[in-house]
Amino acid sequence: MANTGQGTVLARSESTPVRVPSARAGLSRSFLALSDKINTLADEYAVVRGAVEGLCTILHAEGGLAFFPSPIDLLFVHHARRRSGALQQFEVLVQRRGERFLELFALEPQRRIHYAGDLLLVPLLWKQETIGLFAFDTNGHTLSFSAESGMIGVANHVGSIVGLTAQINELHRRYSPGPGNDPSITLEEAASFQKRLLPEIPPSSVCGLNIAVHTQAAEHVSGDAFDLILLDQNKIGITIADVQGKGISAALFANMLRSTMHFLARESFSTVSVVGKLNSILHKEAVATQKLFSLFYGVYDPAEKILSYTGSGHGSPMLVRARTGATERLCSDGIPGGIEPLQRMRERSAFLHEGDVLAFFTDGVIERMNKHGERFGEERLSVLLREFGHGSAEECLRRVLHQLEAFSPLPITDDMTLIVAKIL
Amino acid sequence: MMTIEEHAHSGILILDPGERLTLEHGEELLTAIQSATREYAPIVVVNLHNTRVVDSMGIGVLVKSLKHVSSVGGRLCLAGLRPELLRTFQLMNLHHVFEMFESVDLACKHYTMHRV
Repeated sequence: MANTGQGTVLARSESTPVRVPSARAGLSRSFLALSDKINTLADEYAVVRGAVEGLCTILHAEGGLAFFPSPIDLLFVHHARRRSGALQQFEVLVQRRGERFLELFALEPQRRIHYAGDLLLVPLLWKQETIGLFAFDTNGHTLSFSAESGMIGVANHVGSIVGLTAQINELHRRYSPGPGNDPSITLEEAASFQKRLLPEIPPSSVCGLNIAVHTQAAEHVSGDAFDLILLDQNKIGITIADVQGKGISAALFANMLRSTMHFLARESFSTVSVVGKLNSILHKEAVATQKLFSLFYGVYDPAEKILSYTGSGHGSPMLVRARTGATERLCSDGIPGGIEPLQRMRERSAFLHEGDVLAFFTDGVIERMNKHGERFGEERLSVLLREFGHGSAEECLRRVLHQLEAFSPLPITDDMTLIVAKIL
Repeated sequence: MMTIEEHAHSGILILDPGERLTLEHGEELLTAIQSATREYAPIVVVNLHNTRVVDSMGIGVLVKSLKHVSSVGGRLCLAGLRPELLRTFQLMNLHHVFEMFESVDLACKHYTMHRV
């Protein structure tokens, strides 16, 4: 390493060819440039490619992946910029593990790369190490990569997912029986992946809602996705989605969905706009991976006590009125994603009152069957919400789950997610 | 157990996937449809009268089948859905995606009268 006076410079990075595409190339050409190593690391190539492509699409940027021959010790790449007068050097602000300050070093790719604008590099994480970089170029567009803009968080989130994708697939290979596979992976390891795939749940009372969430995978990881996204003006976005199928491939798609949703939700309060864009972005990927997904997205404004929402083929959430005990359904008109790239959907609204209870769920809840082949069904759920809705969201959720378990103590066969939200 | 019935003269293929339309059984349905479309553009009626369980993979197979049949100029519809199943399809707004009939007979009559 040499000292430049500005920080530590890696005189020559040990990175493998970055093959980040030129800014002039189209997106399709861009992804031809993904390194061969991605094929080695990830069976779900289409999903990884889709995660990158999806982010690049919404950022109007171009990107690519690069892998280091061995993990390096850095946590966050805050931004990178082509160094003036040195076309093959990039200044990258990083935060190294164990240190609290930013430092500067140059990453020198082995290929000459021309960039029209700034370059953002996102670490690909593998077992807490950075194994490579996901790079994308703004292609001349003005984008703020400041931490305040939330872009860094989104980008790092995607980077984690791409890295995690590779990690999961590696472990999947090890876990699957077959010649040469290492059976040493434990169920605890698998369970930890599942945990890492889940979003952070905000405090039980947030944005005028008392919220409780339960999600359970039929296999180690779930094709259900949910998210509670804190938005500006003290609003909160509530997402619940169900990706066709179970297990790793569904979980990867679900995480790509959640990640894309995270970004789009911050762009607009219009739920129909967000869901429409999401469908459009993920359609190609859904077709390529032969997946369908249903989605419900609502934005709650506690100041007005209004929930605006749009659904895309997802079972209608329930709204139990505190005053009358009546159950209403939050119906919507979209069809599942993966069928049509563009849909005509409408945003609808519900006026809520203190004590009203909302229940968002995936079909694993209502389709749960007992030993007699009976479905748990929507009517049972509705009755239970009326009965237990007087308590807190957490208590209501706990008691519903208890009844669900009593109805069918059999192991679940489908991923299930239930979100209970009570209006404060 | 899936059964296949073919109305040779009217070009209507009736498929009954049986009690469960899930990943394992769905593939059989798709294979049968793909096989039929090698020779002509059929009208396919999927008889769901006996079907009690359709999971998300099963729905995926139906959508895939619909797309495949449409791509070769054929038609695919669903018939005889039990109320619970019909409700599920309606909740997912899939009644905007699939043509649906109360029974196979009604579906066959419809297509016989309105030849495509």
